[in-house]
Amino acid sequence: MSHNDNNILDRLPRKSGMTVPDGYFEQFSKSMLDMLPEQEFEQPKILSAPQSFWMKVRPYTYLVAMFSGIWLMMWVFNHIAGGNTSYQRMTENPAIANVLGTEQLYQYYDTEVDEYDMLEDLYESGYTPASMVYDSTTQPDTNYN
Amino acid sequence: MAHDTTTDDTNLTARLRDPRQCREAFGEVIARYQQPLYWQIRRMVENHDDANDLLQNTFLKAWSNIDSFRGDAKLSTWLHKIAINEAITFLARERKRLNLSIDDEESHLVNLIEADEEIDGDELALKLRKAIASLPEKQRLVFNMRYYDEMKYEDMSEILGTSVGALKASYHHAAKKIEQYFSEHD
Repeated sequence: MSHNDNNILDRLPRKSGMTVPDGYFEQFSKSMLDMLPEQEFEQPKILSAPQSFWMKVRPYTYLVAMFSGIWLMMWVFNHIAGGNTSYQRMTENPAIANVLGTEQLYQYYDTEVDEYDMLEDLYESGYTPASMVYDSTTQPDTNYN
Repeated sequence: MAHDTTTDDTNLTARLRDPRQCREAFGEVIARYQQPLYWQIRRMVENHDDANDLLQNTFLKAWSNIDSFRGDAKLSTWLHKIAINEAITFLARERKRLNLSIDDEESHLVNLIEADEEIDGDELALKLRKAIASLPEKQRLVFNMRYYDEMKYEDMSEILGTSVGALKASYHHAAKKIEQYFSEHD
């Protein structure tokens, strides 16, 4: 600071001559802290934007699209494999129906397959005598043709 | 400035933003800034009791607006701004209450200086206070900040929102007027 042109100010002591009561600042700190009200900090607000119609239906749309995709994928795989799963019953399959409709199958079982061997095969497959009791309420599938 | 502790202020500012440490940190703010702010206010209003009230208001305002203090400005700058606003608002309110014109304010302040009991009896210092009281409000503010607090013009510029050039000119005019006052009141 240049005081060359302010000779009077240069000669003055740089003090205002003001005083404060004894212990004023020590007391002020304490009383001021007590005077402060509790501070309420605002929690950051999570703004919820209004939902549009699309935002509301989007999850359901995705669900429908997912199941449609799965169905389409299965249909395509089946089509590629050349299969036709529209047969509700085994005998509706023309290849099986053709075999079952011939006498050779029965003749084969009558002449070539030993009864003892067949029972043994059934036992090995997990069948028991109890499971082979004839149930008159269940009609055998005779629609071989 | 009396407390040019930028690093401490940065740390203090960070703690003021933390709800768990805010109150304790504000206690440190009070301890650190009560004196510079008090003298800033006291030199403007010339009376201890008024200065005490205004200092309390300054800290209360700072406390209630602590959320809005983002640390963009220095803590000291922000507090000085609040204190100066409080002092200027108080003086304007007093002028209105006492029905004083700006010209009458000088004699009002001189009366306050003469009635002040919190003085050390230094006659030259008392005469300087009266000389400063004869200055326009803005010049008085600038002169006090520069002469007593030895504040940098750049810091004053931030607090008062006035260019450094204008502040230097203001101080120069104030010093001339004080010199003239002393030559007239020998």
